[in-house]
Amino acid sequence: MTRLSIAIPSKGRLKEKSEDWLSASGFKLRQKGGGRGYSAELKGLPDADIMLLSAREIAEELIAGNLHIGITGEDLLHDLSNTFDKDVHVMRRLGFGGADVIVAVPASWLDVETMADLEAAGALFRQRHGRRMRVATKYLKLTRQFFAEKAVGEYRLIESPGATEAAPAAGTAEVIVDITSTGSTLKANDLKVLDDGVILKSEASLVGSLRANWSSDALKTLAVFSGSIEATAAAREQVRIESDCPIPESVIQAFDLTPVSAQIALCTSKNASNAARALAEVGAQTVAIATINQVFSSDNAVLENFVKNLSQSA
Amino acid sequence: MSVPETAMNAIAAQAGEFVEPPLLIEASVPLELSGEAVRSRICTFVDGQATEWALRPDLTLPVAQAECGLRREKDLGETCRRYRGPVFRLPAIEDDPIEYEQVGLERFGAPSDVEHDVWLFQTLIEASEACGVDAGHTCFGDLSIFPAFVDALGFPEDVSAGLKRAFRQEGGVRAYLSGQKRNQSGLPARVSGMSRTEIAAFVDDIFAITGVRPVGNRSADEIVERLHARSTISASFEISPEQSELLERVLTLDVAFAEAPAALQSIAKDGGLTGVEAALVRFGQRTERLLTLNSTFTQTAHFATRFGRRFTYYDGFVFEIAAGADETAMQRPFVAGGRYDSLLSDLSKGDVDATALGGIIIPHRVESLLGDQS
Repeated sequence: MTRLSIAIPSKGRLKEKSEDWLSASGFKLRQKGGGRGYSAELKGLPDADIMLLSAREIAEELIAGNLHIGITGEDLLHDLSNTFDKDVHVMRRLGFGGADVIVAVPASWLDVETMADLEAAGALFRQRHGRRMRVATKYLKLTRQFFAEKAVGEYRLIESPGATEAAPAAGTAEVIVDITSTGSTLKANDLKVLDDGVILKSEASLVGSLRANWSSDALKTLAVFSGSIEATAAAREQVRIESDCPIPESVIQAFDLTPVSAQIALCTSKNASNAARALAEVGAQTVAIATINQVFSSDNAVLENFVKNLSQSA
Repeated sequence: MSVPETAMNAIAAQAGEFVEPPLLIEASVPLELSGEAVRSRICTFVDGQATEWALRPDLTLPVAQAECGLRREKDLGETCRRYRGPVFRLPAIEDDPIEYEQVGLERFGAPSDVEHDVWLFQTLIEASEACGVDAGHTCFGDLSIFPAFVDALGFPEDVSAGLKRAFRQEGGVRAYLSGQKRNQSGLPARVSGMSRTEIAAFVDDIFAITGVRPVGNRSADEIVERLHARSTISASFEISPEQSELLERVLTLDVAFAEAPAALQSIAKDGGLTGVEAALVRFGQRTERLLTLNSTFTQTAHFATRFGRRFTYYDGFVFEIAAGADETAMQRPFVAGGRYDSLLSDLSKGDVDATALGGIIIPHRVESLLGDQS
């Protein structure tokens, strides 16, 4: 494992969004053997091995240290890892694939609005039915932890790898713990989320493995990759201001500009038009504001934090 | 003679018929009894028909199950069973064995009184002495104490029941007390004071208007029952700060064993509680009797109200003896026992009702203590 290994979700919206996100930083995904192959390459990063895996596999392999970095959901990492902070490091949340892991009950349970209500309803259920209320989920560990935190003991877990939201109507469970992004699947199945039933807010993230064997070559490739990713992220929040006369120090100070040259500076999007007006007031005839694609800078805090964490856990 | 043989002989001298219960039990037995909290400790597997099985985590469960079977046929009066055999638990401490032996006894249908509690403790320390270990640090508990204080405070039944369940969960009582205010809004508050029939009509209306129908295994009647139980708590009811503090004092009490009765009495007195008297008298008598055994096992003993609440089927007197008082030692007791009067009823879904108490000695831990001594 001397070369940097990167795993990308292999299917669905998560894959599409990941591809878009990578190409914004100049990395274009090319699958070997057409659209169905599971190995690939990133144009612009020839020194990395690229793998296409399911989000769950990516989480498992990051935790086990069989991959260097990958794109996956934090929900899966939290559920699969016993020692999150020692296993993985979230380098960047990607702003897509957002979803909550929640506790939901049938909408007809008018008596149950909170986890405390669920506890009491569970106790009565056990009295009536001679068995514990069942909770269907694929998030076994997260559910156990959350229910213990909320002091809810009156339940049993049923492992449900898919279509969990159908379990209450089918009678295989009374309660579910599942992931939802819009809540429409829950509504369609006549389920409601408990008031204090959000276990975890999750989104797709770029995650580094702290368990993996990091060679200096892998770290070098990571620096190239991360540098470009962070350059794109930095560009998203900034615009380029160009003036026909030199930008005075007073304006740089007032609007927290980052000078690029005497007449060009970077500025946060929200300050840009005020900065342009200020430049006109000190004599500029023309000021242009332009969007930018990437801003490379000599320091990369995201990479530094990861490397620091890596050296501490070694 | 080996340690397990010596222990078995010492117990046999007291009473009991030797039994050999099955190694396998249905996983639903411990899981239904104790909830998901025990899952991290039991060894389970799933068979071809998707039934989940467990290697027995103790001998109490299979022995009690067999007892239920026998007692379904006829009333057996008083019985005593003794046993020796392996149990299987996923270790809580790294490097502890998954499989180890227990030697122990279960006594069913005997009067639920101080005398039998003391008899159990005495039987087990005599077995320990016979094996060559004649001192240890004992932690005593009594899982009926906290519920007795809750009852004596005279809360509405729904609140009392909630607090007693909360007692069994780590942090449960605090979570329950802090959740009090939040529960006074929303639908349950709107049905406050309504009769059960009125609530049923109200629920029907909501279903008719919203088009929501009950699904799955929980019926509309159960929803109405639960709303009704809540509605009997008046909107103005609140556990006062003084009552919360009193419960907190009971819950966190952790004192030298000899001081426990006076400490509990003084909490009851400060709160002006009278209803807790019966439980405290029994507790006081038992403590006195155990102390007059004048055993090295009770010299450094302590009492904690919370002790034993995680051993979910215990419901009264409970104790463990370890090599020392520190946490690591207490995690590896070599003797444990107590009372579980509702176990047979819980296992048989109410078909069988007989008192139960029992205890074990763990030979490999006794052996390692003997090894340390020599």
